[in-house]
Amino acid sequence: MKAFIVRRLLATVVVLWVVSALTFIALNVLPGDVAAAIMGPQADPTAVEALRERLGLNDSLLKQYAGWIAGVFQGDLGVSHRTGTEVRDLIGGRIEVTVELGILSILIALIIAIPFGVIAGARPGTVFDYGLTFFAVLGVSIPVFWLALLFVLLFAVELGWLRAIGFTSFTDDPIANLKSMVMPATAIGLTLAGNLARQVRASMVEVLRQDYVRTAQAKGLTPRTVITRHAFRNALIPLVTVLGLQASLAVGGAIIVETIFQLPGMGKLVIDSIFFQEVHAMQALTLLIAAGVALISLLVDISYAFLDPRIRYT
Amino acid sequence: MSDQRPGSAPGAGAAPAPSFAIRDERFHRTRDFWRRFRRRPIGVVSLIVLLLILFAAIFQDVSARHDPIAQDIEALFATPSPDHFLGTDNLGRDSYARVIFGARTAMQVGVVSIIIGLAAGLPIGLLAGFWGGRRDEVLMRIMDALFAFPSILLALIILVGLGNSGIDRLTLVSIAIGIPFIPGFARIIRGSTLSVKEQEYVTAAAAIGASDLRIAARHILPNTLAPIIVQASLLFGVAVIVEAALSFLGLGTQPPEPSWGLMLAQAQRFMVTGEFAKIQLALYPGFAISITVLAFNLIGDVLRDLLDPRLRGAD
Repeated sequence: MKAFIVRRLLATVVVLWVVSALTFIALNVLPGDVAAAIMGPQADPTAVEALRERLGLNDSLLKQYAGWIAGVFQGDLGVSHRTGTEVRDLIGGRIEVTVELGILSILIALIIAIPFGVIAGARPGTVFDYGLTFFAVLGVSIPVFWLALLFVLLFAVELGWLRAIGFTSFTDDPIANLKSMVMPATAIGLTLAGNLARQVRASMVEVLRQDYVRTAQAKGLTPRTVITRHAFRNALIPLVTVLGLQASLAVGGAIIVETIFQLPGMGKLVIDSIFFQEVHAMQALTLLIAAGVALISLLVDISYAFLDPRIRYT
Repeated sequence: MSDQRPGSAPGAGAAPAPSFAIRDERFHRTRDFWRRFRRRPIGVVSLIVLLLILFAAIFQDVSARHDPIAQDIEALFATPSPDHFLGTDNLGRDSYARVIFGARTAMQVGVVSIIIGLAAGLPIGLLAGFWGGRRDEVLMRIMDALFAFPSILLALIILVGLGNSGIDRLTLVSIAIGIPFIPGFARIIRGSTLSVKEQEYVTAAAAIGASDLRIAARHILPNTLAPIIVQASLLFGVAVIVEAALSFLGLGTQPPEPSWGLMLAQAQRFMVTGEFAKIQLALYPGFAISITVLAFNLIGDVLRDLLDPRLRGAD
C-alpha cells in the first residue's frame, strides 16, 4: 500500500511538471506575440518592444520557464501588467468561491444521482430504469450555460425569487451566500448528475449479481434490507472513482457559470484574464486548476484502495 | 475479433477463394449490424434526427429561406410567423435561418476536432502500446497531463496561444477543441493494442515476418474500430457543446458568423425584459444544441451496446 501511494505521488509530480510545461508552451511558445496582442494592432513598435522587455519576453524560453517555475515555488505567480497587482492577490479569495461552487454542485449531483441510480439499478428493465437512462443522457446533453440561462429566466425574470447576478461571501451572510450559489450550483449539478446516476445504476446491477447478495436473499431478508444493508453501500464504492472526473467537469462548468452569474471565482478570473491578455494570471490559474484536478484524482485513487480491500496496486 | 477467422491468418493458403469468403463475411456482418441496429428505436430516431441536421447544414440554401445575416429593421424582435418561422432577433435577422446556419458551424467544428483528436491520438496510442516500457510511460504521462485540464480550460489556453497565428477562426476553434480529445483516443487505442499484442495470432504473424506496420494495420486497428466509433460519437456531442460554450464566452466563432453559442450570448442581453419576443431568442439555439448533442449521445450508447461483444446480451 505504501509503495502504491509513493508511486502514485511520484506520477502526480511528473504529471504536474508536464502540465506546467504544456501551459507554458501553449501561452508562450505558440505563434502569437503576447506583447503585440496586449498593445493592440495600432501600437507603436517601440512601446511594444518596451513591454516585451518588461514582461521578460526577450529572454530565452528556457530562462522564462525556469523563472516562472522558480517563482511558483516561492509563491510568486507574477504581476498583472495592467494594474500592477500581484497575481497571487488577484487569485486569493477567489479559490474559495470556486471550491464552494464545485462542492455544492457535486453534492447536488450526488443527492440526485444516488437515489435514482439505486432504484433503477435494483429494477433493471423497468419503465423507471429506462426513464432514468433517458434523463441521464439528457442531462449530459444540455449545455450548462443554457441551463443556467433557463434558471435565470424562470427564477429571476419570471418568478423573481432569486437575483440573476451578484455574490455575498459565506462569512458575511451564509443565507445570502447560499441564495447566490443555488442557481449556479444546481445548473452544474444537474449536468453532472446524469453520468453519476448511470454509474450508480451500473454498479448496483453488478453488486446485485454477487454471491453475498444471493446469500442474503436466501436467508430470507426482505428485498429492502438486502438493498439497503448489503448492496447499496458496496455499490457506492465505484462512485468514488468517477469523482476525479466530476471535479474536472465541475471546474469546467464553473468557468462559464461564474461568468454568467458574475461570481468572483477563479473561473470568472480565467475569462477576464483572457480578455485583458493577462498571461501571468492565465498561467497561474491554469496550473492551479490542473494541479487541483490531478490532486483530487490522486486522493480518489488512494481512497479507492482503502475502501475496496480487493484493490491492491502493485 | 475479425482476425480470428482462419481465412485471414497469414500464410493460411494464398488461394483466391478465402478472399471471397472474407468479403462475403464482412458483408454479412455489416448486414447483421444493420439488422440489430434497426431493432433499436432510439438509435434509429437519433440517426434520423442527425441526418436531418446534417441535411439542413449542408443544403442550407434549401432549408432556410432567409439570409442569416440579412437585417430587416422593419421587423425587429418579431414573433414567429409564416414568413419567419422562429421570429427575428434584435437586428431583424431570421432566427430560423440562423439556427440552420449554426448547425453547419457546429457540424464542421465537430468533424474537424474529432479528426484532429484521432489523428494525434491514434499514433500515440499505437506506439505507446507497441513499445511498452519507458517510452510508453512517457507518452502516457503526457496524456495524463492533458487529461488533468478541464477540456474547456485547455481549449481556452490553446485559443489564446494561437490567437494571433493567422489561422482562420473556425479551424482555430476546432484545433482548440480537438487537442483535449487526444488522450481519450490514445488511451482506448493503447488498451486495445496491449490486449491484441498478446494474442497468439499476432505472435504467429510476427513469427512469419509480418512487419509492425502490417500487424498494426491488419490486426490491431480492426480491433480498435468499435470503441473508436463509440468514442467519436460521444465526443462529437462534447465538441458541439464546447464550441457553443467558447462562442458563448465570446472566444469562439466571431460575429456575424452564425453560431448557436453566440446566439445565446446575444439573447442573454435581451431576455431579462421578460417579453416572449425576446425570451424566445434564448430558447431556439439551446434546443438546437441539446437535440444535436442528445442524438449523438444516444447513438453512441446504442453503438456501444451493439459493437461491444462483452455487453451483448447483458441486461
